[in-house]
Amino acid sequence: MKIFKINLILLILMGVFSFQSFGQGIYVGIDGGIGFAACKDELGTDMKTNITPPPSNSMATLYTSRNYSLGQGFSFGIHGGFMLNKYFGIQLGADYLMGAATTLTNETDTPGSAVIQTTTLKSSMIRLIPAILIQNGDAKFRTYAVVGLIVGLAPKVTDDQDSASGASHTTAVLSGGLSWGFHGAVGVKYFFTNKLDIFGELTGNYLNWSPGKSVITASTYNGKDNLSTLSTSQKEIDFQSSYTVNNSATPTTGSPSQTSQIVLPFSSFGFTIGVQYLFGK
Amino acid sequence: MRNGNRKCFVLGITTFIISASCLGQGIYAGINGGYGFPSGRMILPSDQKTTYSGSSSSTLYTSNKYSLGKGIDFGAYGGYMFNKHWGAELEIGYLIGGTSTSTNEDDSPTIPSTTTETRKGNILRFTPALRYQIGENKLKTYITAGIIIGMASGTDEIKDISGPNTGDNIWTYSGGPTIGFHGAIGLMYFLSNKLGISAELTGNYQNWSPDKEVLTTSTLNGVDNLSKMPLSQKETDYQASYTKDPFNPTPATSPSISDRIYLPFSSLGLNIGVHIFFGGK
Repeated sequence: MKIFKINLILLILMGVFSFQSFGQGIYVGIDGGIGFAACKDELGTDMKTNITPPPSNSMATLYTSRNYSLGQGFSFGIHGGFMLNKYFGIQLGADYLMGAATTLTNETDTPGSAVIQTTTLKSSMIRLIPAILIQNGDAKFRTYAVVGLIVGLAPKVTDDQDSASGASHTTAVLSGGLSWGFHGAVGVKYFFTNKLDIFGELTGNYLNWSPGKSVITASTYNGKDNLSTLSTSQKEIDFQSSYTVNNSATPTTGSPSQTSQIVLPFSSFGFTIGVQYLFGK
Repeated sequence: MRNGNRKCFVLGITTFIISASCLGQGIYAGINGGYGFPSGRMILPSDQKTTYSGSSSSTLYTSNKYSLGKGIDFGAYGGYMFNKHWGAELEIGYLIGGTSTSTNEDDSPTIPSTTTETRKGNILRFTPALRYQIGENKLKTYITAGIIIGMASGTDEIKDISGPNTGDNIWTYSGGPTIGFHGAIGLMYFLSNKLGISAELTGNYQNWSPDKEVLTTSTLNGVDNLSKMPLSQKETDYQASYTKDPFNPTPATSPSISDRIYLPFSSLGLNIGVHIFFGGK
């Protein structure tokens, strides 16, 4: 087993050096950045109602449309690639998106009291990004562009609902399903040495996600758990691309509900910075 | 005088082009066209098919996703290469959108019915973009990345056939600019120093939030209904923020007010084109 490991390391080193001898090279790097919401969809409406009792007897509701993308937030990752020549490279990146929270509020104010309901969505996703890199020059400053695909793995959205100012709380977790989309970036890199560079880029990630499942993981009323009182069909939803309902049969409560697929936006546009090490020339 | 001005203008343009060429840079222009497949899709109502067997019935639900960005697009662009790698350009393109349809069929033995909803959109796109190209010989690889500013329109038709009756309603969406992102990667083959042909993979990512919805057609068995309807039933203004007071409702003679909606206009497609370079080598 030890010999196998040594052979593997030698093989990789030989590979690296043989690439160098052709004027090509392997590169690896780490990166991190921030993404702002792009290609947004409607989330719902913030509502703020003011009720004035008689004799004024008025009720006015302010509606404010809210749009969102679950792709906004911080990301950090690693990437590695191979320069086929001084212009072209192919690379694979993997990053983790820590989505920012998006909150929708419904508030009703009466003299002396306020009732607030909130819905808060928060996302996470691992993004695999196979891409093509093209760059110019072999000076210390190099400009480059990257285009590729995104495969979203282990996407997850947490949907927290608080109603009646915290009297009831429900947490649902959406997961499953595969997400894929497109990635593009333009950037500048600066080489400190022949091997080491830092880079900064404008980055766009365009993808939507159709979750496979929604599960209520917590449900309380006045601080008391009531998850156990819910049936499986109330707690779990399977999002299906196609399904049949027998209209004459009584729906079963022992299995998850079925409903049509939904689509959640995960696009973003932002900035990324990173450090990269080039093994080639 | 007018003729003199025209000559001066033509002379000025020619001088500019030649002077640009002298610097090894150059103006370029081109035309292109292609087809965009739907991307970044959102949910359209599910297809439904209800069938009957004796006293029981069942409904098959099939999820539907759509983007109004699918269809045939064509455009023209012009730009300026700052050096042999980088250029900036403006493209003006038009999309003739394809149709997206959802169907709800009920084969009831008493009153069979079919409801069909069809959505379609067009968009005029202004795309300021950066061009990045590499390659020394006749074959060049390029990437363009830019921002799309779109002026879109769309229709939503619901046709309802229920027993002997046929109803038809068409809503038109308009207003509200749409901003999105454009990216393309392509190959260009130069037939001469000046003339090239190109083929590219093109992605356009944008959603559109219209300002207004107007019911432009409403018929039942071919008889117009529109004239009988108050304005509030025919027109809807989509607003980011508005206030409603149930004690002072909006009059029926004014358009309804509603929250903003988002319609997907993203696409991924193939374009081919002809490119003319006025600059030097």
